[in-house]
Amino acid sequence: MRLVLSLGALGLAGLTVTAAALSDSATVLVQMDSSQNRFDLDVAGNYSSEASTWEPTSQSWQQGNPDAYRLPIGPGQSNVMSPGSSISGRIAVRNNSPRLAGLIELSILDPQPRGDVTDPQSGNFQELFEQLNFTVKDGDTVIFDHVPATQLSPFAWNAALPAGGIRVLDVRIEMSPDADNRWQMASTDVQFNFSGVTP
Amino acid sequence: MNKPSTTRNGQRRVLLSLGILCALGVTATSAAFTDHATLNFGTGAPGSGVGNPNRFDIAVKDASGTLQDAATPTAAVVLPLTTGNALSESSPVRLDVRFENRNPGVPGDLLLQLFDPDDTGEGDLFRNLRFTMYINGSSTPAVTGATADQLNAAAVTAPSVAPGDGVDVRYDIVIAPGSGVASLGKTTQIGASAKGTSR
Repeated sequence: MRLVLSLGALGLAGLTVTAAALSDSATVLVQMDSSQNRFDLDVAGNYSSEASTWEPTSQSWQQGNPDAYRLPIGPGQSNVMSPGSSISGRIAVRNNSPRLAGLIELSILDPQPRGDVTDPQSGNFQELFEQLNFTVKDGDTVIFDHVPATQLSPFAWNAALPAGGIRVLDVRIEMSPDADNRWQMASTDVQFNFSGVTP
Repeated sequence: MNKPSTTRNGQRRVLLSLGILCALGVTATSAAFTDHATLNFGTGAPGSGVGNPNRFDIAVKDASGTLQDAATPTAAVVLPLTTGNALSESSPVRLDVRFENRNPGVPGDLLLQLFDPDDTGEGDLFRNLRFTMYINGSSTPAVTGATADQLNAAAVTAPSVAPGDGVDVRYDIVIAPGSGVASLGKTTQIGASAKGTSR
């Protein structure tokens, strides 16, 4: 009997300890600060007689979004092109994010494609874009080498552009020497579209 | 018997959790920040970008000083001789022609050529003519005593004529020495042309 009783007492004591188990809690506060997580691209450009040595300054940058930044035609330059002639300028893109790097892609587009529409009076084509060849250099690296407008594809840099980083590109637009009188009085806008995504 | 199946369950669990990780990774990539910035060459209005807003158009001044297109031999402007009215072996008749690059337009090179509008074949007086050509009032002839074929082969060119500018061409024309008798009573027309090639 005694044996049985003492066992019963042990059992009770065990229960009590379990019910009065130690407890504790710790709070971890994780601060989610997104104020520096802005991702922003800017553009700049120069088409003037000094374009070959131009470098963007802090005043050069334009948002270029949602409205495209319109590159002005500098003194001594013109937008007139004839077969075989070319114009050269510089454009630049900046990753204006405080701390986010970005993967950048460049597309050259015709913002207003007019296809095969001809002028009713002269019978000439109105759209010139397809008659242009593009050469784009990033420093010594040639991105597009006399690429006809019809064969342009977006170019993506492998290396991410770090926050605050700048890429300056030399651009040369040439009117195909094979274009003939049918493209007299034709014109086109040219759009350089930089799109970026954080890696 | 039970143990291997437990292990299999464990492996399955590992695989499952990897799957979840992968899905998370994909989600994170597509939720990146993006931005784009665009730079346009041109305003969107026709002729604002690059192009050729003006026609390249060469004209010739007629006797009253008006510019005429005269783009085909049949539409040629008939000009009076500046001096002389009969061809001889010794004293030249003189013809002055002014070709102009119409303004507004495109700068271009003007290739100066001669042709016979009324060629009657062998024995045509035109073939016995010798031409001396002066450009832009120069006292030094560009071509001296040449047949029309020789003059055409010389391919005398007025380089880079700006829109609104032109070229003055003077032809002094004599009959080839010794062919005066054979030329008696014959007449010929003399055609002068300027073939423009845009720069």
